[in-house]
Amino acid sequence: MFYERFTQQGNSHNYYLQKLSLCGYILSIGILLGSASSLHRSYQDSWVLENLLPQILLVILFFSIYVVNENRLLYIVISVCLFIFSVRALPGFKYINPYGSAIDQSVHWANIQEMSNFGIPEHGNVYSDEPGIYILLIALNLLGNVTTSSLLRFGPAFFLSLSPFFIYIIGKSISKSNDQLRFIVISCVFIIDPYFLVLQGSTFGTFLFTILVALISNRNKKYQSSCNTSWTILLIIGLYSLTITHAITSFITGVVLLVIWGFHTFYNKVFNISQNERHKGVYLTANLGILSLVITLSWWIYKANLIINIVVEKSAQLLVNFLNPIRPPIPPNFFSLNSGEQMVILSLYHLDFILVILLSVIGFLILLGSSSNRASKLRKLFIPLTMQIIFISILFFQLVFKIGQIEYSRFISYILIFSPIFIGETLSVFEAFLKHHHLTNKIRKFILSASFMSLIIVAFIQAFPYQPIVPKRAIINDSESQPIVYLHTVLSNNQISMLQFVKNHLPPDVKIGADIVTFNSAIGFWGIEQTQIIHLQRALPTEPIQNGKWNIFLYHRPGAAGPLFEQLEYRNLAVNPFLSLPTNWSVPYDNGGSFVISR
Amino acid sequence: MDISTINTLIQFIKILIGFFICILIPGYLLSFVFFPKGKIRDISYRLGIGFGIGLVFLIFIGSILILSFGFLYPWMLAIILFLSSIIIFIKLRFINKEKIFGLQGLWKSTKLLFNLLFLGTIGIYTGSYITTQSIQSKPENFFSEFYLLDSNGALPSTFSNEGSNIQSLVIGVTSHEQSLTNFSLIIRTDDSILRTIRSFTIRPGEKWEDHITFSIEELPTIFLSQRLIFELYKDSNFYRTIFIPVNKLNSNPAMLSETH
Repeated sequence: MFYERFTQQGNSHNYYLQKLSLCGYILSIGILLGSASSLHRSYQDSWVLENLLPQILLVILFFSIYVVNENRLLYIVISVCLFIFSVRALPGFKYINPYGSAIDQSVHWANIQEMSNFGIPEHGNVYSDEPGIYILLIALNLLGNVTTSSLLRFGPAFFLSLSPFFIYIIGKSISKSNDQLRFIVISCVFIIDPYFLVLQGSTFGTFLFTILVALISNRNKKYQSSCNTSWTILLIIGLYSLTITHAITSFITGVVLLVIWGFHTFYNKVFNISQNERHKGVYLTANLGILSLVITLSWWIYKANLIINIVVEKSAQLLVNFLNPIRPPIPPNFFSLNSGEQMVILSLYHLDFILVILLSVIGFLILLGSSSNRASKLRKLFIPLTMQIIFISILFFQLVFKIGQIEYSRFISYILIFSPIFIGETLSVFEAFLKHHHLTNKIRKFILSASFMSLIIVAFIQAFPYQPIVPKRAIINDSESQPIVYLHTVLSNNQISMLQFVKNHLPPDVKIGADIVTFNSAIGFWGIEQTQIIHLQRALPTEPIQNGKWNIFLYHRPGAAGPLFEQLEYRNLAVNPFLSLPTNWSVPYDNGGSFVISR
Repeated sequence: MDISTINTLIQFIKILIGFFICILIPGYLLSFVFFPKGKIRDISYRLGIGFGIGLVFLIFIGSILILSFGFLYPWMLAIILFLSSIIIFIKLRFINKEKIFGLQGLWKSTKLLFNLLFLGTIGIYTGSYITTQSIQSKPENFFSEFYLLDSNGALPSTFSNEGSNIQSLVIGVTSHEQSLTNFSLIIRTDDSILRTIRSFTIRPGEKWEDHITFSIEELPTIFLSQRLIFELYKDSNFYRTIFIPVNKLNSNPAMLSETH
């Protein structure tokens, strides 16, 4: 059946180029992953693409040629899935430890470790009551003997690489044109959220939200009206799965669905829209919104008390600190940079997002400007478009009022979900523009391939930020300058060896502290419970650590052992402990990257 | 291809198989239960819906098992998913006479898949070969741990005397180097070298430890300085330093009179 479908949609005139580029694409992916797995780095290097740059450029080149010459939608969807997989799994192949040493990744590591050993995540953390992620990941250990590290290195990439299929389903509910669908699916390669390479709670929340939107978009389609019960069952199970995977996302989903319904009702009343012209699917959103909130709140009350406490606490903080934000959107150090350096930092953090917003806005304007089928297209786009507008408004509101309690990056991820629909419009118009100018087929495809390649390379500046170009500043007592921020977070063998050593040789009744990255690594390596038993404390990013608060402090130098999350002004001890420590402190353990200080 | 690369690839393949068995196959089959063949003809759409169903059902079944038994292991999911997949397949194929896979189409697409897998494998081997040949192992991948312990085997904070009892120390090196490595040690104070320890050779993964007790002649020098410093040399090159402050709790008249 698969093969028949392929050949039915096939086009013979570019047969050889198509086959050759497909072979080149598969071969280049193999070369990329083979190269990455041979590096097996156990330390933090300059950036993820160190020693892999030519290989990834080759993949981008063949991908761009292939998708332009391929007309069969299934092939395009699968090739985009493969592309996303190879990019997302790259750190997993390259580094022997899971990528990412922030608190989320460490908690996930500890929980998966516990779930593999005892069948249940660790108690007392936010994710204990949201086992959805762990159910998905441990299911991959079906054949046994798959390590927790491997599950974290490859598991998320497998799941997230399926997103083009769901974007295709959303696209299908909006557009019937194969050309447009093709570009919508190809645009999935631009979905580079702020936590692109690491596993965050919202990573799977956003992913399941995409599935849910795909289901909602198709629930009310005419030809599926006889299957409405099936869609409804799926939607309910989907909402439940989202709740137990990432309840904050399901809560936000409920609120957004209700806002869409409210907005639609208001719009219909104000503009006197007749019953026939109204968007039928919107009425479903009200029911689903209520259902989503009911499921989420029931789960929180019944099972996830810790989450509800945090939500209440954050809401209270939000009200109390409305004019005194805890997490400003832009770190204060950013303003001490000159404009060139600010541009570099902005590009490394948000270039893809800027590109996506730009292409989406162009797509939206094209849609508004098109005379034919405008009303019908906008009606079909109503749900994703309204969601996009709501998420952009929330993000804008957060930035203006500096409200960081519900996270800025989460909304960037939500916005990115729908962007392929609008980028697809832009790209299909671009192709139509090329056709209109009577360019030969070869030249048109060459221009399209080159454009894709350039856009992907621009997007990858954010996906794989190049650490050496981050601006540097001198710190006290140190002749060498330090980068103002570290962009990569590899868990190193230096950290693991130190944690193993300290676990075996810790004196009794001592106050023990750690820098932020080491603390996070300890949670992953020792487990949450063990960390609590020994009362390991985390130093603040602005805290001088030799101030006498702790007897033993676990620390590391920036570099091979991993990044430092501490502010630049507080890093001199890490850079040179021998010179920076008062004489009553000792360094009884050092492995070159990580060390222990005690007094 | 070295053993670490092969191990990485084996782990990857195991996860890939788990992914197919737990999500893709049950999801694809379940899609026919929810939407019979006539309802969805577009194969990409069918696969997308199938994968979506596979994912949400996996989480649903997993959570039901956790809520019922209080724990969840992969084999529990495997049994349920494997059995339900077989039952659904039999029902669809032999009772409903649904044509889930056309045999000819399946054979051709499998052939195509194998060709592409073969190409991918050649790519992996080529990439691995090129990388192994062109990139030298970086020194950051290898290191040694250098440490001090007190007589109880715990991390010490100071070197001290209590009356006439002088604290003894254990000094150790654990190698995570690439090959057999030669180390040597110098023990000194801030101002002068106390002693040089003969060189020793250890293999990767091996540990070397030595109990250090100081002679009566060395103690006044130690207690007059602020820090006791241990320098490790690897293949005669300076490697790293650890140090410990000296804390004279009680002066020992006998000991001090001997030197002054």
